[in-house]
Amino acid sequence: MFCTMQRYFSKEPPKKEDKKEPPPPKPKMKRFKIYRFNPEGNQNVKKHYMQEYTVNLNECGPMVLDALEKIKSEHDCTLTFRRSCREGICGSCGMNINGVNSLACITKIKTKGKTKIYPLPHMYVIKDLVVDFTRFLDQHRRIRPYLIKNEDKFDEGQEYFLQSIKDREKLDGHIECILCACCSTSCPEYWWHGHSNPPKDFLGPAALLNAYRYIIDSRDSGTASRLDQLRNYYSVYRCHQINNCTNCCPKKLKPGKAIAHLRLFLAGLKKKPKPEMGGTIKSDPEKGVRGNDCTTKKSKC
Amino acid sequence: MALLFRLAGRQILRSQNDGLYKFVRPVTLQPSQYVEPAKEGHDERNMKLGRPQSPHLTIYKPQLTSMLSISHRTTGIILAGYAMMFGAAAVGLECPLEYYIEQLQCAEVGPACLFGMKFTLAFPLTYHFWNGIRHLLWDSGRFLSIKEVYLTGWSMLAVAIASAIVLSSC
Repeated sequence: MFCTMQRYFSKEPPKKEDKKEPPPPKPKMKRFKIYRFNPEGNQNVKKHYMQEYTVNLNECGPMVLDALEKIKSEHDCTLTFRRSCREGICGSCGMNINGVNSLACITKIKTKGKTKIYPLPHMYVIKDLVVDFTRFLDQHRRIRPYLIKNEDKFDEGQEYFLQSIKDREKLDGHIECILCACCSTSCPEYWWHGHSNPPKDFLGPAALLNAYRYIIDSRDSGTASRLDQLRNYYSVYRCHQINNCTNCCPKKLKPGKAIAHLRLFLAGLKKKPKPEMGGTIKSDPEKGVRGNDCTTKKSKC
Repeated sequence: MALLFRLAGRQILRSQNDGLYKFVRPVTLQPSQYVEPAKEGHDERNMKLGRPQSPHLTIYKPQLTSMLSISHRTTGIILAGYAMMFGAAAVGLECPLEYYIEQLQCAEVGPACLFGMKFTLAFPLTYHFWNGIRHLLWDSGRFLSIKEVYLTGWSMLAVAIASAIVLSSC
């Protein structure tokens, strides 16, 4: 106690260290080669090309997205890319970095060599690194990414579906998908068959992972119709287990495994187990107590 | 002043009730049949806008996953080619195949060359066989995490090469 008091009241200035300031670190120059395409350019110049930028890594954050931001703010404000959360949860900044699809915000800059950045492969480029997601999102819409219930008596917005903890745990590793399209656009089969006529096209790993997620959900009762929808030459069976999807998924999910299990479902080798819990519960506990006669009776007893 | 103008304006509008209103509001609304907008495919729309397709096969990094898959297909094609080649040879050639094999043995081309020829015949078979088993395991829904994919991939390659060497050295 006394010691701390003494330290507190003593007015000795801290000892000055006669050390020179360390010399400023050598600039670490890093070259980025980035795919460029300007839709508003002159018709003759309306072509894609690769542009090179040099960034000092000492003045830049560790991730590829930081470098892109720096290039955009300091070198070339016309560089266009999607970004939002900068922490790998929104799925906006999916792009092809050094030949592998990943999210720019969670991919570290390699200090050696040149980093090449392309938009997601085999997609229509709107501008620079921004690609057209219309078809990808339409495929996701087509697998009906919502719970389908057979029973009509359900008070929408007022009730919750019941699900046991064990059944809920089965969904882990499937619900984390952020639809960044890294997996689908890394898949050669999706490149070749992803754009055939809409009801009969290869849906791609992302949509199939989500389809599987709703098929194994214990609260969903549209399993049969969902499987029937996939029962054609293209939707699932164009997958040849290349596993590029699992290899590049920024959320470490396994779309390849989901597709393999979907096939087991389609072949009838795997059946959906009976849900451990069913029915609904009032979403508002207060209302549930007031509206339900049983509970009031019980409380009286 | 403002009041004066306002009064004057109101006066003008009132006095020329028919004329001025007609002049400033010449729009007449008429009901018409709803025309559905022309349906345009995703590809057509993007091509019309002159959007390029982003590069794919040429820029994607060759990884073990994709390389083993493409070589599985290649070895399959090679095996089919061998089957057709030997089938056609058996039909078309004058002497049976055993005769030519004996000729080859008598020619004394050297053990290394013989080994090489045997290996080119054996490797596609062993590779396609062992990778086929790997695919069968995948179809049962197992070994599909990326760690297992790489582990089974490398071990399959080792086994395929080893068995091809064994086949071609005996």
